[in-house]
Amino acid sequence: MLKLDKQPSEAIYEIVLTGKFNPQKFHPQWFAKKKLLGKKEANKANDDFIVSKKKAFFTTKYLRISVEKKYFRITAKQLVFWDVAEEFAVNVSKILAESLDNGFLISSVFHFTFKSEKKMLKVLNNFNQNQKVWASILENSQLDELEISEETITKYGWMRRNVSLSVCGREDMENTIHLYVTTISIVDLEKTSLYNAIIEDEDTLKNNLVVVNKIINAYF
Amino acid sequence: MVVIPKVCESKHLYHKFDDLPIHSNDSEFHGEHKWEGIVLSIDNEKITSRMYDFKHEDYDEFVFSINQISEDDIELLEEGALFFYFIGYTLENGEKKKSDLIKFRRRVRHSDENIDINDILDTVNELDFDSIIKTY
Repeated sequence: MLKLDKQPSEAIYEIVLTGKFNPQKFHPQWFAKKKLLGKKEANKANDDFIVSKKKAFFTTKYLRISVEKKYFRITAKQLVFWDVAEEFAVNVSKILAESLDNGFLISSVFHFTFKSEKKMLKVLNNFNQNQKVWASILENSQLDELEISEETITKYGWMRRNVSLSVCGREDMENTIHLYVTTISIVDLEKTSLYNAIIEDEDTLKNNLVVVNKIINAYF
Repeated sequence: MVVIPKVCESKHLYHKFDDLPIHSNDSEFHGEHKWEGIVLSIDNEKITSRMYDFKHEDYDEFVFSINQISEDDIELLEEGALFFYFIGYTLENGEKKKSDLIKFRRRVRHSDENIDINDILDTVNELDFDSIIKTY
């Protein structure tokens, strides 16, 4: 797996299935019954299991699982466990085929922390190539958020990659920039199944990381 | 025909997730490297496997004990079973301690993936074993 050229203070790698789900159904034991988790693994997952009408959440040694009414999130706890997350997503998409839409997201979320607020703001302003244009509107403009995207036709459908940067508002994260690189893939189910599209998708996360390295090397 | 969502329809997906702190404790395993393995043979408690190292694109044989497999994964152990092998470390009182993990892969079969046993037997019968097996 590709390595990042600057170590983030926190990183999240996840695959998200979209559809209609009843979060209350997704107890760790349900996953054990469907052979997605071992019995002992499911029992241990009960320790931090939280469930409500809106959300079910638990963790295993490798993954964080979160099910909301429209989203089934599978997060790899570490990049090295990405294949475990992807395999889990493939298995879920086989079992819940009837509940799923024809799309999935691969999302990588990073927190990059800088020595000072001044340095962080300078980094963000480096992305603003149109400072002169904004100067006619705001005298001392500061870039806080930026979002760009691209669309591509894929083997089985279509994909949009979105890159966004913003100041992190978390209290425990000072002088930190969020960097999201997210792809939404829509699968033409006349060409293949959702699970097969996920299995064959070997490059999306890698390409997301290539994008992150380009940003790191050009701006951070 | 694939229906492409409009930018405004898909936009809500990007930022909707909570940004919560990730809690990890020192005793948690920190993975540094991954191999993919296949079980070649099981001899009592000794398991022989072939491992593929993606980083260096290299194959290697790996022999390990059945005791290294978690209780949950024992039922998945068979010849041909696929697994991940992670090496890394845990932190004990601030000190790095080498550690490893073996995780057998769980593959759920979809209804359209049913394999016809007759197809398998036909394939086996079509193989030219005489050219593969040497006689002495």
